[in-house]
Order: sequence, then structure tokens, then C-alpha cells
Amino acid sequence: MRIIRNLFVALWAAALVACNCQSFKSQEQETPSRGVYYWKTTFSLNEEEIAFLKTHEISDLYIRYFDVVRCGSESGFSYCAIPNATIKFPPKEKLDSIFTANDLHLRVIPTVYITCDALSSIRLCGRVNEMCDKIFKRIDAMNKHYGLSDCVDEIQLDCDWTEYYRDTYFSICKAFMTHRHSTGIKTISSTIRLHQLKGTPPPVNCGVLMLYNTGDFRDWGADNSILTYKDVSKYLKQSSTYRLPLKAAYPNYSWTVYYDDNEQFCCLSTSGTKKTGKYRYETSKYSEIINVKKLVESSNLNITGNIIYHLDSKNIKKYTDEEISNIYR
Amino acid sequence: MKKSAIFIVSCVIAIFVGSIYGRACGWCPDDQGPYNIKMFRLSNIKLEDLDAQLENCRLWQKNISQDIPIDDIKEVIYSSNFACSTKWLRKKYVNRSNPNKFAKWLLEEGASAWQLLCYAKRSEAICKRLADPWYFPYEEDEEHQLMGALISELTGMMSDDKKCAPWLKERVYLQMSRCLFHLRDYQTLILWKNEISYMEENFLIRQIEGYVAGAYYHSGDVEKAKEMYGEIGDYNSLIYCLKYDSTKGFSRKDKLEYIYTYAPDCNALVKLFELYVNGEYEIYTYEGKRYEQDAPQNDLSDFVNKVIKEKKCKDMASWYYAAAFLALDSGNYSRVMKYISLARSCGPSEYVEESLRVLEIFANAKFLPLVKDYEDKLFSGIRYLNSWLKREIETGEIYKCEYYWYVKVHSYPYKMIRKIVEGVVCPRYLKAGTSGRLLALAYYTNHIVPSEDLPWQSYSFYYLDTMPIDDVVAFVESRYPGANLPLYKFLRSEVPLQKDYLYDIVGTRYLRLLDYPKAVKYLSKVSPQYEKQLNCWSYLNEYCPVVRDGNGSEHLANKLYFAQQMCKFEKEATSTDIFVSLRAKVMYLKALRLSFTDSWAYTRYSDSSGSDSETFRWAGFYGEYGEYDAWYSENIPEHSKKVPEYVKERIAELDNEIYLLRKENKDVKYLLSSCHYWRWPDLYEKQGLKTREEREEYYRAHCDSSQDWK
Repeated sequence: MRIIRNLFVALWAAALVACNCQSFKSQEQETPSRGVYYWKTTFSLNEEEIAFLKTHEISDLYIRYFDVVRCGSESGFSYCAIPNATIKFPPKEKLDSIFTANDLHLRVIPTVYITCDALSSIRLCGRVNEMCDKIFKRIDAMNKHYGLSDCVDEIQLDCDWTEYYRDTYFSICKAFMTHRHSTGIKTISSTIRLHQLKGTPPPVNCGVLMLYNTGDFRDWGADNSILTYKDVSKYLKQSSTYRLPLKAAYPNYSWTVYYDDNEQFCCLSTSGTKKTGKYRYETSKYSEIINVKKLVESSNLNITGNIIYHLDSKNIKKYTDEEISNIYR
Repeated sequence: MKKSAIFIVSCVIAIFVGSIYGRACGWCPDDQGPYNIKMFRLSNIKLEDLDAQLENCRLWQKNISQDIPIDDIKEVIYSSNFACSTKWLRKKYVNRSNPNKFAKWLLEEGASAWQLLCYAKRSEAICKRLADPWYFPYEEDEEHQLMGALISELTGMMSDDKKCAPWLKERVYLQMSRCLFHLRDYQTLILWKNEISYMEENFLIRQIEGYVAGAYYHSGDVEKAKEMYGEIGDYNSLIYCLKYDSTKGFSRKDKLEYIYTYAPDCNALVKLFELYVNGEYEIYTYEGKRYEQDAPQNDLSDFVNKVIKEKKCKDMASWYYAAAFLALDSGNYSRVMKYISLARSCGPSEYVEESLRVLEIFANAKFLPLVKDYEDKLFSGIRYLNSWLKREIETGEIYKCEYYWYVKVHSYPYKMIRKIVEGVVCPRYLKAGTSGRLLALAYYTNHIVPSEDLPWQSYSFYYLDTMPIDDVVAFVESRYPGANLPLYKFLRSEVPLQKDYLYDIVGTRYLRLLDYPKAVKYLSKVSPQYEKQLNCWSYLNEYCPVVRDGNGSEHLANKLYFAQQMCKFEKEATSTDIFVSLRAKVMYLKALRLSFTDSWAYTRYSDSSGSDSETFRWAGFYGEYGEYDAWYSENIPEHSKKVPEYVKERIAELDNEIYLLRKENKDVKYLLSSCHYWRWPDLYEKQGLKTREEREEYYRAHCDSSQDWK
């Protein structure tokens, strides 16, 4: 009798758990989070950008706080890596007024780009915990200085790691996961490039699948190096899975790629200034984004939100509100 | 002897001779000949004068007491483990056999100064944290709190006249400005500009002004920052501002012009210009010509021309001097002299006047025709440099140890004598064939300062060792044309000829010429005391070509003995006793060969391509890539390469003679065995010794006295 009762309790508990999970997943599926990257070195929002954030009910603002680069011996510092190109925010009061006056309730996700050179240097130094501590402290100091502490509960690491640097990057992620508890950060996320999908995920809470820069802009023969369905489908199949919840990041930017007469890559320009030689104008086509979005959503990836790269009125203008909504849907 | 062994011996010789001559603790190959000696000398600011630590200590000394040595002040202030505790101060610096006077003063009379030092160390430690690339400031952070507390304490100190003497106030201001700058409180710092404006200009005030300039820079008023950096002569910061103005790279001319625009009279401008000229300009090769690819760019000349044209600088004499120096390149003597004259008309400083005089001597030596007047001017120049050098020797230490243990002479007049005589006059005299005068000038130059390098590693030695022997003898005996002219009498009076050294060289050269009677004549003038102090004395004994045959190890084995023995062999070779004659010939040839091979030190002072030849290779003296040995073989007419050939031919003749005598005289066998040393061709066959046993028995019987037979 007792056995039957226990079995009943266990089944009931299992059903409850299953139900909870299902409801959580369905809730996630119903309202995927909406985010946008801010990737400039000075933070300022114009009216169009504020309108964009409000109209599309953006909840997550991924701001590149600084890069982590290799520390050369010539610098005179004994670190293996140091921060570089730190973003400049307006003074605390002004920043606060931008958010409050516009009734913006954003979650800020400080994003730190770690260069491969820095990884290489950290790999040699082996001082992963020290680096992790420095990055945390600096983000915390920036949040305090600009009054952003209350908006931050996640940190994102951005790194184009390869097989060679994987272990170092993962050890950094691991250190961040351990360290976050003492700092009030709940989530550590990492960017995931398409080529990284087939490998083991980094030890973080979640990831952002970067669905841009999918081609090689150096290649004169490329159709569009920003995004093509063709390029994405090489890495992503309907059967693709990944052991990490992901948000999908789609591009909205354009650029012109310049080549010399021998079809050798010269430079990229976002201003579109005409130069001599050959060039190719590339843009993030809505149709291509939607096709890729369909492919992503038809896969077995656990997609919990959508992000647009990046917040710039010049880029936003190219799309209708409906198109943006469709991307976020 | 193997090359490696020769090399080792050469090194041993070098080391021993170095110690014999006392001064040199090594020989430095950096100063590779006269062409690389820097002549341009525009500013007497020394790098140590720009040393902030030293300047700071000097000011402490000025403020407290001249009796306290600067080193004592430096020791305490810049202690690597400074602790703000009088206990520490007493224990570390006072309670010891030689108490530090500054520490004593701090304990007894300098309580406020000690307090300030503690504040300074605290501020230094906090600033270090603030300057950390990982640091990001926020108002409530630990660094802000620490700095705030420190500023309060400094403010308290400054307002208390009892605690803060006027001279100490400047230092308090400095600490406060440093704190404010690192706190990024630029506005407060800018307001301070008025506070310090009434203070007397000194090192500390300049530092405070530097922080204020930095505050202007960070507040966006870069023009004001540049102006202030210009006023205090902080050219590094000025150049930093240049980065603000330009996204492109900038050349050395840009830098100079930039500093010139904001601070035309800045000391750093002339120093920087001097560094550019000396660092990149004087790259010479053989005969003082530059490589094509190293041809100077016109940028420095353009800059100087601009300065001269605009006449904005107070010290125009320096810039005319610079123009005169740069005009040397053009080979236009009158232009050089015109600028020198213009410089003098501007009232140059004593320092620049000296530079002008040297440049004038150099230009005269280089461009004037070799007529009587030339030597008058040269004499005047050498006398000027000589007396300057003598003053330096009397008043200060001119030797300096560099590169761990190399001793070099650090004396501008000495280097200029070398540059002018070795680099300009000697090559001209060499071309003109005035050997005696050349040797006299070179000898003076290399011996005016005792033993900078070994006496066999100097230019004069190489002239002595390679010029026609008759000219060398004439020089040694002061019989050359012009020997009694005032210049050459002066040279001899300043640097008397070391006869032992010179006769040894002459005698050795005669040994190389196979002129043994003359070798005897000059070597017999070398005193035994001189010979015995030479490091190679034991080497000469051990490797004497004539003693080694076992004929007289009891003899004094030196060059003279060798020469005498060779004379004896030459005489015996003419004997009517055929055995005596042949024996003498064999011995002669054997010794002759040895004196050019294993016992090479009997005929020259250097062998192999060891370090001693490096100087001259790099100096371009023998051409850029000329190996010493190769040069020696090709240029010395005295058989160095011909000897083996000569000996071989002579031996072939003797071989026939001896062979014919073989059956008539048993002693002939001994002669033949002696010849084995040279690995006589076909010896075994000619002796009829076919088996190995026969040959071994033969040499055991006849060659046991030969040390070389194994």
C-alpha cells in the first residue's frame, strides 16, 4: 500500500515538473526577449533610437563596455591583458534622465569583447582568475559610476575563439560563472559564432548565436558577407541542436567592401564613400534575415529571444516597423 | 698550433697586457674608429640633469643643508621599501656605521618634512592604483576615499604655518596637484594656476605646471596645454599633444618643428636635435664617406635653415653652429666657416664656443690644402685640444667603465683629437706619403691618454706595423722630414716615445723581413725589463723556434736570441764543412718556418681572426669586410704568405744535397729526421724505409730530441 502511495506521489511530482517546464517553455516561445546591441565607443541615443527602443518594447540592451586586448611589454604593466576602447557614457544624471524621461526600462547587459591576442596572452600567463576579477571589478565600477548597477544582472563575453583557444576561453567562462555569485550577477552569456555550433558549448548560462558576418568579406566572389541563407545553412540544419539556450542575433547594418584591380581586399567602409577600384555594397536584406530566422526556428535549437545588431538610426531606418516586429517575433 | 689554441693564447695575451698596463679592465669594441666618434655637441644638458630624482634631491639639499649629501637624500627618499615609521628610519639609516645624514636631519629637525614624505609616499601608492589600466573611477571607490583623506591632511598641513615652512609649501602643492590630477579634478587644478604664479620658478613649480597643463589637455583646451608644456620645456608631453592634432604619423622634423613652434628656446629642443644628429647622422665608412643608403635626409638641414631664417630663438649661436656642422656634408668649406663666424657674432655660450672651435679645427684639417699653413693651423688646434684634455685629466676622472667591465675614455677633447688626427689628417698624410709625420701624429694620439686600448690595438700600431720599415725607423729615431718642426717637437714633448715598445716593433718587423742582422740591432735595444713584463714572455720562451730543437733550453729564448741564432745559421751555412753548412741550413729553414707558423709571435703581434682584428675590420680601416689575416697576407711584403713557399723550395734543394751525402756521413740521417718536422715529401721512400717498423725505428733513433715528433 505504501509502495503504491509513494509511486503515486512520485508520478504526481513528475507531472508537476513536466507541466512547469512546459509552461515555462511555452511562455518563452510566446514572448521571446527583444534585445539590441550598442556597439559604439560613445553612448548617446537620438530620438529615432529612443523611439525604436520604445516602439519595439526592447528589454535588453547589450552594450559593449570595453575590449580586452593583449598587454604588450612596452606598456610597462605587468598584466597579460588590459582593457581598451572603453565606452564613454554621458554623466550619471544625464544618462538617468535619458532612461527615465523616455520611460525606458532596459536591462543593460555589459558586453566585453576579448580578442584572440588577449586569449593567447592569458593562456601564456595562466592568470585566468585575476583577469576575471579585474573584468568584474571594472564592469562593477562602471555600473556604479554611471548609475547602471540596478539594470545589470547579466554579463556577456564576446570572443571569436577557435579550437586552439577554446580551453582558455572556457576556463575564463568557468571563472566568471564561479565569480558571479559574489557580485550579484545572475547570468553569464557568451556569443556563439556559427562555426562554434558544432562543438561543445562554453560553460555559461546562455548564448547569443551571431547570425551576421557569415561570409568572408575579403573574398571578391562572395555574394554578401553580412548574411546569406546559403552561408548559414552550411552550419545550421533543421536537426541542429546545441546544449545551451540561445538568442538569435540578426544584423541590420550595411557596408561597402573595396578591392583593388586584382580583386584583393582593400577596406571596409560604412560611409559608402566612393573609392577607386572594385567594390561591393552589402546590406542586411530583410528577406534574407527572415529566411534565416525561419531556418533557425525550424531547427532544434532552444531560441529564447532575438537581438538586432546594432542600434543605429541609420540602420534602423532601412526597415519598416512591421519588418522589425517580424524579426523580433 | 690549432687556430683555437692561437685564439686562446691571443686572449691570454690581451688579458695579461691589459693588467700590465693597469687601466684597462677590458677592451671595448664599441668605439670602432674615428669615423664613428660623435663630434656634434650642441647642448650641455646631460641626461642625468633631466633626471627628476636627482633634481628633486638637489632641491632638498638646497632647502635644508648643503652638508647633507645628495646620495643620502636619494637613499631615503627613493628607498624601495619606504615605511612611514621613524623607527624604521632610525633602524635602517641612522643606527649603522655610516649614518645617513638626511635621515638624521629628518629625525632631529625635519618632523614636518618627514610627515610630507609620508604623504608623498601615500599619494604615490594611490596614484599607482589610479593609473592602473584596469582601474575605473567611481566617486565612492576606495581610491577616491583614500585620496580625499590625503588631500584633507595636505590641506591641513598647508594651512598650518608652524608645520609648513614656505619651502615645504611648494612640495605640499605638488602633492596636492598630483592627487587632483589623478582624481581627474581638472577644474580645481586649473584654478591653482594663479596660486602658483607668484612662486619662484623651480623644478617643483615646473612639475605643478605640468599637472596644470595636463588638466587643460584633459579639459579639451589643448592649445593652452601646449603653451604650458612649451613654457616648462616638457617636450614629451608636447609631442603627446601632437598626437591629438594629427591622426597620421609624424616625422622627426614634425616633432622638432612642433616643439619649436611652442617652445623655441626649450632646452629639450636642442637636446632632441642633438640626439637626432648624433644618432642618425654620422655613419661613415672607409675614408669618411657615407653609404649611399645612409645619406642624410635634408630634413634636419631644412629645420635648421628655418630656425636661422626666422631668428625666433634667443640662442642663435647654437643654431648657426648646427648649420655649420650640417654644412660639412656639402664639402663647402667657406659655408662652414661662414656659419661658424655668424655663430660667434651671436655671443655663443662657453660650451658652444668650444664646439665651434672643434668644428673649425676639424674643417681646417679636412678641407685646407696640405701646405705649410696647414700644419700651423693643425698645431694650433692640437695644442688647444691637448690643453683642454690635460685640464680634464687633472680635474676629473675621464675613464668610465661601460658594458660591465670595459673601460673607455670619456673625454670630448680626446675623442676629437682621435677623430681629427686618425680620421682626417692621417688618411691625408698617407695619401701624400708623409709617413714620418703621420706616424708621429698617430703615435701621439694613441698615447696621450694612457692605455685606452692595448698598445697593439691602436691605429698608430697598425701604421707602425705596416708602413715601409725605413719610414718607421726614421720615425722611431726622429729622423723624418719635419721632425724638428714645432708641431712634432710638441708631440714628442707631450708624449715621449717609448723606445722599448718601438724597437720591439721594429725588430719584429725585421724578423718578418728575414733581415736578422738588423733585427739583432734593434732588438738588442729593447730592455730585458720591458720584455719580461710582457705577458707573452713565457709564450716566447716556450715557442722559440730555435730552442725547441733541443739545442739549448738553457738559453734565454726571446726574439733577440732567435735573431742571433738565425744570424749564426746564416754564417754557418757558408762553412766549408759540408755537414756544418747543411745542418745550419736545415736549422735555419726549420726555425724560419716555425717563426711564421707555430711560433708566430716572433714575427707579428696578432694571428687568426680573433677579437683584436675586429676593431679594424669594423672601423673600415681595412675595408668593410677585410679580415685581418687576409689583409695581412696581401699587404705585408715581408713573406708572411711567401715563407712556406720559400721554405718548401729551399728544402727541396737541401733534400737532394743531403740525400747525396746519405751513405758518406751517418749524421746526415739526423738532418733528414729533423726535416721530418716539415713532413718532407717522399721522405720515407727516399730513405728506403718501406715498412712501418723501419720508419718507427728510424725516427726513434734520430728524432727523439724533437719535441714536435710524436
